[in-house]
Amino acid sequence: MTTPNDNLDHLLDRVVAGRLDELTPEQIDALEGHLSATPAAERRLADVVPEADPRLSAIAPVPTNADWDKVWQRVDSAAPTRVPTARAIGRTIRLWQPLAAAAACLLLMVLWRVAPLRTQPPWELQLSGDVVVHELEIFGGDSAFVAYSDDDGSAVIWVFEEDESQGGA
Amino acid sequence: MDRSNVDSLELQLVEQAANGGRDARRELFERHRERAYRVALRITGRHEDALDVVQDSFIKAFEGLGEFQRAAGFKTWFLRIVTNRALDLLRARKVRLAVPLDAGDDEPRLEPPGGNRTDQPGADLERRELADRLQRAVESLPPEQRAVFALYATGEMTYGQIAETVGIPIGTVMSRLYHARRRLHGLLEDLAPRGATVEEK
Repeated sequence: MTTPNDNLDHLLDRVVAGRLDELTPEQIDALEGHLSATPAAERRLADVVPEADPRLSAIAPVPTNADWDKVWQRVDSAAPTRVPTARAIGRTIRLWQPLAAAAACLLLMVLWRVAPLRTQPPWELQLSGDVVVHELEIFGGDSAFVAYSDDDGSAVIWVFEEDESQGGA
Repeated sequence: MDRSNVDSLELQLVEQAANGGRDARRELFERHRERAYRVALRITGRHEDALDVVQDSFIKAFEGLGEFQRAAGFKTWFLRIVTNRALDLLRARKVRLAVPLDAGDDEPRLEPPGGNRTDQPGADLERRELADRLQRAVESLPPEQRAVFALYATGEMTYGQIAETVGIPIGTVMSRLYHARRRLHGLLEDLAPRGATVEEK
């Protein structure tokens, strides 16, 4: 008895043997799904060079030596004198890790010492300029108090919550 | 020389190039330039653009040698840079072409490298015409299929290497290559060898 996977493995055999073009689009779709779900099948195909096709192998002439000389000169003039290798970058990262950890600890200590000193008012004050209030509607029993200042038309709007323990402006 | 020797020699070159070795860079340049050019040409379709892509890719590669992971292999890593750069250029060109141009000079085409080789005799001319037809057909492929086909057309990359270079699963490489070849066979039907048929036209 053959299973669907046997059939897919048979299709894969044909691709590995260089007969990719013999498959139908539906078979290709099925095989693509099989390969993505089956690492062993994917490994079978990984080292295979797809079959060459003489009709698709026409190669345009390569650049001349003069072309290459120009390209090399530009590459050479733009190249850095020394590039940090992955190993050097790794060393740098290893060196900075403990330093960054120490700095983070120091910052936490400073914040812990400073935080209690910062007292927050029970309400939040927000200052806004160039604001036009067309309608002021208060919900849930809160009340508003609008205080106009001077002659320039600026106003402060106070909104008090029902229990009056907190308020906002 | 077996592959491991080639790889270890290449790793030495990469190490020396990263340390500023000009000769090592030159050697890497000479080893990989033609393959890179063919990939870039397949994707961009123009000699000048392909040379620009190769140039920019080498500059980027030499600047980024620190990021090179030795497990990947320099060829695969470098061709990824080439492919991405060529696709970027293609996208930029498409944006540019969205603006109507009256002369039509930006029509993708394969220009003869070297410029003045048209006086060369028959076989070379025929070969170039075939290459030109193939290139025009390749230009009708969607960019993602074109990139896979360009790497396949180097004739030396495995499904796994193409997948790693483009950053897609192996099954997707197979699928894109299948559809690319199918389309190209249809477009180049008259080039089919005697007795050969294109499947399921």
